[in-house]
Order: sequence, then structure tokens, then C-alpha cells
Amino acid sequence: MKTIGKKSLSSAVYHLLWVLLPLGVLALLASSVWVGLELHDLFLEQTVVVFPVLAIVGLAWLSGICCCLLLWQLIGIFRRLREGNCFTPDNVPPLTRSAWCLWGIGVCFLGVCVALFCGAGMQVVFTFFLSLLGAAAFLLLGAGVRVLSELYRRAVEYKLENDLTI
Amino acid sequence: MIIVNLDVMMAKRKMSSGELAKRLGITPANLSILKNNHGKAIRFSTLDKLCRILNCTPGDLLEYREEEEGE
Repeated sequence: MKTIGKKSLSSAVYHLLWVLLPLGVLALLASSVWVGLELHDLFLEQTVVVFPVLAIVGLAWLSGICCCLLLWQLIGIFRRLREGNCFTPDNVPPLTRSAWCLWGIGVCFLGVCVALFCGAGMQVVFTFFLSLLGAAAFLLLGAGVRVLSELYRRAVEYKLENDLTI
Repeated sequence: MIIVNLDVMMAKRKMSSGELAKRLGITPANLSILKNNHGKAIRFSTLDKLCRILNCTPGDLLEYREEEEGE
């Protein structure tokens, strides 16, 4: 299977990302309205559960922004892969930014864990551990992508040096 | 910094870039990189061929020059 270039796996992923990004942005915009209305109602109720719910909703929204930013970075990377430019320095900053986005999502998950623990204690133990698992996964993935971006940067340097060795 | 005096030797031997590139077995683009001091490194095999084709020593082709301030 062809992985890089036109009519390849990277090209298919590129098109898929272009479908996902507008959907993500639309979902984010639509949820903003919904979240705004829900928060307004919650404020009016003034119950003790308001703070954790506020935090969870806010963090979920923040992680949505991180996801959209991640998709945007991936579009840039896959566009260059589709064009056949693998080891170009332009791919390094988006990879680093992708790592930051993943860390952002991980931190949001951690925040959700804290909010769940503070708000509901061990009543939502399954959701709590699921969020904790999500946080660990995204933080680890972010670390992996950050290391990968550094490796990529070095690979680009080696390629440049190799290209200019006559 | 290391300066490649390839153009000087080529002029002395009255050899064109195209002919030298052909005899070296490299592309004219790569020869241009070497000639214009844009290269990062030179392989011993390339240096060996250059010396044989241009009938010179590595010292005739390479020169060390003190780097100027701000360069």
C-alpha cells in the first residue's frame, strides 16, 4: 500500500481530516450556544453541584478547542506528506504544536477527574477512572509526539547534510 | 572556513562544468553546490576523482580562510 504521495494513505487521511475539522468547529460552535444556555440555567439553580459541572463542561469545551487545533496541525503535516515532502523542516513545528494540543487535552481530562472527585466523590467511579485513563493516554501520547518531533527535526538536519554532501 | 577553489582549477585546466560533472558522475546541480561553497561536506571518493580528473592535490582545491566578523 502506498503511504506517501498522491492517491495514498496520507492523501486519504488528509481528506478525512478536512471532513473532521469543519465538523469539529461546527460542533464546538453549536455546543458553545448549548453550554451557554445550560450554564445560565445552572447559575440560576445555585446548587452545590454547580462548580464541578461548570468545570467539566468548561474543560470539555477547552479540550474541543485543543482537538480542532490538533486537526489543523495534522492537516498541514498530511498536506506536505501528500505532496511527497516528507523530511521538510516545515513539518517540525506542527508536530511540536500537536504535542502541546495533546497535552492540553490530557490536562483537561485530569481537570475533569478532579472535578468529578470533588463534585461526586466515588459515586461516579467508572467515569472517574475512564477520565483518568483518558488523561494518562493523552499525556503519554503528547510526550510521544514531542519526542517524535525532535527525532523528525534531527532527521531533517541529517537529510539536509546528506543532500549537501557531494 | 573552508573554501573550495574548484572554479580556479577548472579555469586552469580549461574544463567546463558540464564535462567535469559528467566525468565525476554527479549532477551539474551538485557540482554547482560544490563550486559555490554551498556544500556541507565532500566525500573522499569525490575528492579523489576531482584530483585525478583535474590532475591536482586536495590542497589545490581546498583552502582554509579565517572567518570574518559577522559571517
